[in-house]
Amino acid sequence: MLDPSFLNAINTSLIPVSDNVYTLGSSTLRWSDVRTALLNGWNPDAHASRHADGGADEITGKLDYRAMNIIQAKAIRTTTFSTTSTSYVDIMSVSVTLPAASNVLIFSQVFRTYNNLAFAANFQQLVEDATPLREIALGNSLNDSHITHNSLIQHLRVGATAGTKTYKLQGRVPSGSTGYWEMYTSPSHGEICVIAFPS
Amino acid sequence: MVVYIFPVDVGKVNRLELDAGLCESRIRGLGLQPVSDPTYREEARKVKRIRHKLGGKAPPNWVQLYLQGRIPPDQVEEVDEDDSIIVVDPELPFKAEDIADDFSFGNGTTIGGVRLKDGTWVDCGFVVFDHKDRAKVDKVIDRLKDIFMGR
Repeated sequence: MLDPSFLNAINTSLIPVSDNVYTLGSSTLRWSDVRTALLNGWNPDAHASRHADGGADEITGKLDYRAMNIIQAKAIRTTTFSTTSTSYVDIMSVSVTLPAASNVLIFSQVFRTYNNLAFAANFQQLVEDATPLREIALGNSLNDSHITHNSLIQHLRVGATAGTKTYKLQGRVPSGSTGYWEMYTSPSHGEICVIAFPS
Repeated sequence: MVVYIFPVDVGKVNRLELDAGLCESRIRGLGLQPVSDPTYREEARKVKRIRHKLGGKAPPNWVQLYLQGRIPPDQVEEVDEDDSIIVVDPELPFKAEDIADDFSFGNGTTIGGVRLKDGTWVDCGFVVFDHKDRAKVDKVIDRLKDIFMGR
């Protein structure tokens, strides 16, 4: 049995007789805390600013992002959009700030879409800032007008760089026609949303 | 090109009593011709034009094929054509310089909204004209506003 007064004034290194065999405490009898200048030679205090927003080597945002593994953003519109434009017009958008390089899943959908001209297709596309990501046609395949279409469009953007991005839904129509993207108060609103995770 | 932006009656828009096609028909009734060339698209700062990379050697119907989604995107390019002119009705709660730089007005007539630099959207309608028609448009600007308000 060790003398308790010795344990309060140890003046020598505490060295086990064998390497990597003995444990300090057990799963049921644990030490309440360990106070140490270094841990495995690493100084936790010297990197405390990493865990404070704006610290010298701040990594909190990235750590939180990696811990959650996901961020999300969405925007809605409740006013019906219609256009005669034969080149792309912005319909709705959502912005998101990516803390690190990411893959981004983008979805957009409105209440319904249609064109007033037989055989005419509305076109819509998803854009990241100024870069088109995906385009789809929503065509009146029948010899009739006002055929409603499911407007869902989605895209997995692989390898988006860190920073603020604006994802937009844009639409255009054939010459001489009017395209409609109907959006009303919730739950009949239009919606664009993004889900991002580290790449 | 020049874009004119007006307030809209959202109630009439969502009751489908007011839409872009109806507005454009009434605008043409005033003797005005909104831009309909599909190779032109107006942004808040620049007029953009799509052109085929092969120039004069491109298929003669390439624009039609492009509109149908039958031209691979890497065969065309979008270039800056001119500076944009944006005219915002004073009743709207923003000015031209408040509009997001990358906002696309397309061409023709649209009822929807405009995205501002702070990310908010404002309901409105807009129509794109050729620069040369500006004086003619300015003479009937009050009638244009009435049209977008469904009056």
